[in-house]
Amino acid sequence: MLRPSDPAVSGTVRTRLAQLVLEAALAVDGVVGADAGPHRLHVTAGVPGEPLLGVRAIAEPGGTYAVDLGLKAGLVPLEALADRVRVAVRRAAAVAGLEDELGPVSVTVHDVADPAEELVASRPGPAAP
Amino acid sequence: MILLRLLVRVVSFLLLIVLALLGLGIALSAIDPGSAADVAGLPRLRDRVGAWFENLEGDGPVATASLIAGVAAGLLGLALLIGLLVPRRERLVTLRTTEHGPLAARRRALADVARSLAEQTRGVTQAKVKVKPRRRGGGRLRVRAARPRPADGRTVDRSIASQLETLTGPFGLKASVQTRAGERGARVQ
Repeated sequence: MLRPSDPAVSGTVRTRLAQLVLEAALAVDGVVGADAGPHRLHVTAGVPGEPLLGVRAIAEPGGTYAVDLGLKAGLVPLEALADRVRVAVRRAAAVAGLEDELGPVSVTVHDVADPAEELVASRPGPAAP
Repeated sequence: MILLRLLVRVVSFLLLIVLALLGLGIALSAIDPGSAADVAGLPRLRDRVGAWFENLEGDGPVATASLIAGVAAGLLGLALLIGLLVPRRERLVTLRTTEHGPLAARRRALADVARSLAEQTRGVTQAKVKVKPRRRGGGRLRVRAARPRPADGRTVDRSIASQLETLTGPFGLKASVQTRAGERGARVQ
């Protein structure tokens, strides 16, 4: 039986893990966006469509994948933010049945959003006619 | 390293122009060898540098100058190779490393957070922050802030340090704060 994590279902385990980790991190309050870094090191290729910017997954000897997240954060306490990101990532991996494949999660804050920028981003858009 | 990379870009751009001109010259000489040489001024060049090349063969000031130029060209080549091949460092400050993975931040991001905190301090009109990472994790923040003339410098220094505590405290970052009296009319927070 194929598990959701099987490559035959949707991409490789590595790319699937990278994708769900990035999605989980971006949904965390205080994370403004993904940032691949000035040298574009936090990138995952091999995903159908565009490469994933802001995450890389590296295979480790034990069969797990170390995940590095590159993020743009709001003006929030960074340690608490990293904790929230890790909790969200582990939860998402567990839901997808990939918790055994997930290794350590590194969080790198590449950029911090300007408070004014955050305010604009948090404003609701114009109402639909 | 930044200068070396800039040098590599400038030299590679100039070399591309030289290469394009050489290509143009070769194309012209393929069409009409005689006129191409005249257009490029090769006969005049031969007359001018011919004697110089003869001087190179013996001792004398020209030979010394050519030796120095050769060594300089070698050093320039070495600098270009270093600028091209040495990998770029990511300027990160490792804030904390746990069993779940490290937390790091770019120097500029950390400086932005620190500047924002410093500028929220009462009596600070403007702040600039430089972050210097340490090899074993953590780092040092150097804060330069402007305050209005009537405000007491030491009090403002302490207030800024206290304001930065939310950033420096959890990660063991060191902060050094210096304030200077701002110009007349500067806005106060």
